[in-house]
Order: sequence, then C-alpha cells, then structure tokens
Amino acid sequence: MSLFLYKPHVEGPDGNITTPDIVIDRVFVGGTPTPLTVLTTELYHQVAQGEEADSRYALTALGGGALISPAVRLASGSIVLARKAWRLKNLVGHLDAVALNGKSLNEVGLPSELISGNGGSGEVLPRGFLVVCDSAVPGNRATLSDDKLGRSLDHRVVLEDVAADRWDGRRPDPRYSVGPTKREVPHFI
Amino acid sequence: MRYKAYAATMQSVWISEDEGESWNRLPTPTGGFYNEARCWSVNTHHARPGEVLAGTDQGLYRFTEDSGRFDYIPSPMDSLHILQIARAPNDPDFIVCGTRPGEIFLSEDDGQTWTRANLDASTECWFINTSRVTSVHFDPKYEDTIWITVEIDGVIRSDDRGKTWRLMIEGLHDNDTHDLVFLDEGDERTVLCSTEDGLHRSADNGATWEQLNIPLARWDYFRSIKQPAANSPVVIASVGDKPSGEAGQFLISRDFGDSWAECALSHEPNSTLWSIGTNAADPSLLFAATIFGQIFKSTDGGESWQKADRELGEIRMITWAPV
Repeated sequence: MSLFLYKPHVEGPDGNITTPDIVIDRVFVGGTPTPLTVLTTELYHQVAQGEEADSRYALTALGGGALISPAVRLASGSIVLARKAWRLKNLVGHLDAVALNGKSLNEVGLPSELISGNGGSGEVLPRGFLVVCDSAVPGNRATLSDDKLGRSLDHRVVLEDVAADRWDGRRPDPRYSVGPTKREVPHFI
Repeated sequence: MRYKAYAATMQSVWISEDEGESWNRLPTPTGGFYNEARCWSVNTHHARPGEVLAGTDQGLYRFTEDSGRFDYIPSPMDSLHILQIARAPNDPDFIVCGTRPGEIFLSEDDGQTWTRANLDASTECWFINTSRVTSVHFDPKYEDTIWITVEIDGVIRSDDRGKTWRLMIEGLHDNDTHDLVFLDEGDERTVLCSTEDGLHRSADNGATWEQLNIPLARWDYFRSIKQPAANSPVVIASVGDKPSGEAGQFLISRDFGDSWAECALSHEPNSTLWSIGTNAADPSLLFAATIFGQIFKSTDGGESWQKADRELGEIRMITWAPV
C-alpha cells in the first residue's frame, strides 16, 4: 500500500510543460528493490559534516513516455528527485548528446539498459516504477544537459551540517499563543 | 494602460485580462499546476511587468508573459502553505515569503537559494492551532526593515533584512494581526495595524499601539488595510463580521485613521472582505474580494465599489498590475 507521489514539471522540446502527479510504488536503485521511503523531493537535508552526495538520473514510468529526471543520492541512501523532467522519447536518437554533469549517458549508463534491467523494455517501464541509475557522478548538484536541443535540467540539493544549530546557541523555547485575549477560553493543554 | 488582475483561490490562480469582467485559469495541461491547487498568495512587481509569483500548496511558482505558464521555483516551502509573498520595492530579486506554520523564508537571488529566518513565532495557538503569517511588508523608508503580521502572535519586525526579529505587541488589544500600512511625514511615522479586534495605531514605529475607536465599523474584525498610493493618508479598510463571516463593509479614511467614512458597495458582501489589491500605477483602480468569492472593483480610489458578475469560490488574495 505504500506510495510516493511524484510531481514533476515535464518539459517538452519546445519548452512546453505538463505537470502530471505520478503514483510511484516500486523503486529500484540499479537493479535493487529499495523502500519507497528513500524518495523525496525536499531540497534541504541535514547530513554529517563532510558527508558527500552523488548525482544520478532517475527514470519514471508514465503513460506518455518514461521520464528522465536529475537526482541526488545522499550517503544515507535518500534519493532526492528533481521536480523537473524530460520525456525519454524526446532524447531518442541523440542520447550521445545527453550528459549528466558533463558525463555522457553512454558512460553513466544508458536508460535502455536501466529499463531492461528492471522489468521494462525499450522506453517503457512497468506502471508505478521509478528506477535510479547505479553509477554516479560526484556532487550534490545534478545537471542533465541535452546539447542537441540546447537545454538542461539543473537540480541542486543543499546539504546542511547536522551538528550546526541555525540559532547558534540562542534557540528559544516554543511559545504558546492564546489568541483573542479578551475572551475566557478553555485551554486543552 | 493594459493590465491584468490576479486572484489566488482554492482552485488555482484566476486571471482577468479585460479589467475584471471575465476570469479564467490557465489550461491544466500546460498551466504549471493543477486547477484545484490551493493558492493563497499572488505577487507582482513594478520592475517586471507580467511576472507573477504564486504561493500554492505545492510550492512557489512564477508566471511570466513570455512563458504563459507557472514555472515551479524549487524552495524549502513545498510542503508548507505559502500565504504571503513580498518583494523589495527596489529589488525584485529579494523575495520574502510567509507561511503556515508561521515561518519566514528569504531569497536574495530571485528564488535560486533560500534561507529560513530565525523567527520565533508562536508554535501552538489555542484559537487556530497553528500560527500563520498574514502579511509581509518591506518598510517604505528603511530598506533593511521588514515587517510581518502573524496570526496569532502580533506584529514582528526585522531591521536587518530578516536576520533577527522582535515582537512588537505592547498596547495591542489582540495579537490576531492581519495587515499594516505606513505614513511618513518628515521624521514622524504612523503605522496602522488591522486586527481581529479593531484597528490599532502606532506613533512610535511599532513600539506601542493604541486601539482606534471607529464607530462606523459594524464589526471588530478588520482584515485588509491598503493605501491606494504609496505614503498616502488615504486608507481603505476591509471589515467583516468574523472569519470567514457572512457580511462585510469597506471603510475609507482620508487622514490616515483619524476619521472614517463608509464606502459605497453595489452589493452586500457575502462574507468578510478579505483582500484588497492596489497598484501604484493607478491609485484610482482597486480590486477587492470577499473570502467567499465575490470580486469588487473601484475606479475612484476606493470611494465606491462595483461587484463583478463573476464569482470564484474561495478567494485568498487579489491584486492587479500593468502588463
């Protein structure tokens, strides 16, 4: 019954976008089934100091054609998906011109191989599937670039030191507010 | 002057291109977000005609005339309610958003990166459970100063571009605050604050407040207060019987709160008049909305208001801007 609701902005080759909300219920990193709880689109994450992330791409099954999105994998295993995507079919024929952080998908791993390795074929993934490539490029900023169509999808994840306190030692106690002060009210606390 | 009016509603953002006569949403397939998206806030900026920021239940979005759609702006607010958006008058890249729960997020690079301010708003409230930011204002005189109202917490001010904040509630009869307006005359400043319990005035830049006696007000619940022109003594105040309410009225003051008159309305409001939209490009033109969907328009600086035939369900904010 677990699910993850993915809300990407899918940009077409002419710059038009569509915004499907997609129910994901199976995730594979490489070929390994992975709990849905690794998925997130929150961009700000607390990590141990010095902990690094790596950039990847994800493919999402969709009726109009599988999507490809930038993603960042944290050391904890969390997969931070960009809320930006292209349709894979708009890249067919020039995948050699598509790169992840400047590294050709030929080197990172082709989407067709990822799909066939996870129960799909061609450009089609089974319904509800999201697969993340196993190979990675260092960095917490994943950029997919398409040199042929002259476009890119940039995805930056902010890593915050888990030991740092943004209040810098002056964190206040939580406050309770009464509300309209002129009335007698029951407080359920 | 060609302009568009924008209404943030519980069914996306509605746009009027014909002076408020007809209203439409962008097409769902290509508009940027779904047509039932809950939208609480819309913001325009004089330096970028046609650009609109919208605060929704799935993040912050930007509309431009060139794109004809709302584009998602990555931010830490995707899971929050983005209730208020303000941009610095002289720098549209400096964006401040207020949310529910009551938090402030700042971006000084047009939304590319964000900082969550150290705002010590109340974290629990008997009356509304969770506090929320009801208005955000860049100070009209001091560019590093930002004012916010928080329901239910009071008036909070930062004098260092959002780094530190101080609660300013001495004299407020009610910390359920909604909106602010400012008048600077030489070195003298007056601030008005609308609250659930009437209108309050400060003559010491918010340090202390006094409640105004306004006999013409049929109810205590003051919601939106706006000046049709910057630093104008003319103030329009919206009043309702309660939130969301079943009735409302507009009051106008031409001497910044000393005296008031009731504005003429073509129709009885069906609920509290929730939002007033002004633009310095034409101080005579104002839009307003009741929370339950009526749209009113004034072409005489708020003295009189005509209701549009079209109603839009629940409206949280209305504004207009030249395009």
